Amino acid sequence: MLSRRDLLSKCIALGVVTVSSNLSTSALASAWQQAEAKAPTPAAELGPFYKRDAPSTASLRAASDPGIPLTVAGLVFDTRGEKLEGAKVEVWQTDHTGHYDLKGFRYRAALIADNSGKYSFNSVMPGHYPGRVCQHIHFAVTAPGHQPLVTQLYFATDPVFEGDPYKNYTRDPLCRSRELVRPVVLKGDPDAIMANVNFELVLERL
Amino acid sequence: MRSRTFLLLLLITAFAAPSHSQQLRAGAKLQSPVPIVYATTCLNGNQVVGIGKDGDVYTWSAPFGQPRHFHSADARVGTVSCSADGKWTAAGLRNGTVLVLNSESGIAQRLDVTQHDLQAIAFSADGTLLAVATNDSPTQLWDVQKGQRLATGTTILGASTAVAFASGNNMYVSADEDTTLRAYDRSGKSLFKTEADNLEPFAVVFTPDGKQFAVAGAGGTITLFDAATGHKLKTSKTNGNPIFNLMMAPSGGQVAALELDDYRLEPAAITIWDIKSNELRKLAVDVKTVVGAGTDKSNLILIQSDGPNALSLWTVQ
Repeated sequence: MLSRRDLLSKCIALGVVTVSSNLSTSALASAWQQAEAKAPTPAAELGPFYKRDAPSTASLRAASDPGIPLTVAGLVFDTRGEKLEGAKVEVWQTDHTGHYDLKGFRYRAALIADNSGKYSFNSVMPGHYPGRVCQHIHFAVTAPGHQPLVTQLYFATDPVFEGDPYKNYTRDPLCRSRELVRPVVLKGDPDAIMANVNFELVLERL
Repeated sequence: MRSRTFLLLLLITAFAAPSHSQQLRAGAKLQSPVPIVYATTCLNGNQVVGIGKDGDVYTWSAPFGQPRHFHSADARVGTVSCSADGKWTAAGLRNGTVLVLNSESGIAQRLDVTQHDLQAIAFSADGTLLAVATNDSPTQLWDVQKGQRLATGTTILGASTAVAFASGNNMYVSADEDTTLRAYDRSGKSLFKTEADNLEPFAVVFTPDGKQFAVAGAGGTITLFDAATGHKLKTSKTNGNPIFNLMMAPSGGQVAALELDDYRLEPAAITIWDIKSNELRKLAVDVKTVVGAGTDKSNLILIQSDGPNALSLWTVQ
């Protein structure tokens, strides 16, 4: 249970109230919740190549793997804006040519959000394949007391979007929300580009 | 990523002349006003029900003259199933509604199952219950006559991909996206859960006596389970392709499997698993022309497109 002082300091930090506030504890709590409330991450289909028991590694990419190196990181929240330490984040994707590994666990991992709710992993930019329009990474996120979240991450740099993902995201009929198309920060030399994506995950409480 | 219906629609990709082999015996030929993208049999092979390229339902009855035609003004039909006695056909619309059709009078019941696409529909053997696998929730159980949802299953993650009822009416099995197979009784109460492997299952089918069920999916093997306990009895070899549909022979001794290539998600092969010998054989057939499978009284039947306006039935020897 947060004290009035805790709430006040959080609200001040968020710019919700000023230092001279004389709001009651309940009003502070309400203001804080409104300020931090987050919309749940839109859901997407799970299948068809989800695989249980993926290894708990943040390094999906071996040093010699072809393809554009990619780092995906983000925080896991609930809809009240509380960080979900210990949330399980399962990810799976194709290699850079668009092939899923069905026999083993290449480009599959089960991660645990740290004590600040953060997860991250290194991989490669997934490829396109004939049965699907866009590059994507699958996510399945679970945390006790919360609705499981099944979703997919898309990349604003995907050529399918022709530079305008907010207009063209529906070119993939399975991409139902523009919020799932994330900006990609490209760094490095032209012949050694690295991609970075931030993908925040928000779960609904049960 | 995919719905099973979508994958079935991929089967329309070609209308090449069917291949003939000693493994298949030619049966009836059916005329169709439109190309058929999916079909199956009912009533011991005396009825064929299919989905046209136009999203309508076509039903042929022996001796297979002109088909009955059903058009839904609400949405295209994406999946279809019929009761064992052939009296009822369940048409799953792309808007998440299931229409239960009576062969005499048309729409008998409208079930508002979901607002998304449907994966699979299965009647209980007595035709009184429907189990529906959907894209966005675990399998639902419906009372056909009352039009009421009786139960919704559970999953840890995701929805369900396939469902099948046992012939004894006493249970159904849902193949779920979280890689689990869940068995329920006819009131929707959980009986047990089990797993074939750690990849998604896409198809489930019971033996005719209802004592065993077979499951296949992304792992490419077919696994036979004891329906009373959920214990694994036997697993087939694999050709390395995911399996998206199964059909059990009336003898219970063979299972036909539709394999798709895991990159293009196009039909790759139809294989027959002989459960007793554990032999896995590929049928010499142009798989891109096969639009479905079924059974007659004693054999597996393949249903093949024979051009845009005809279907051929082939008995698997």
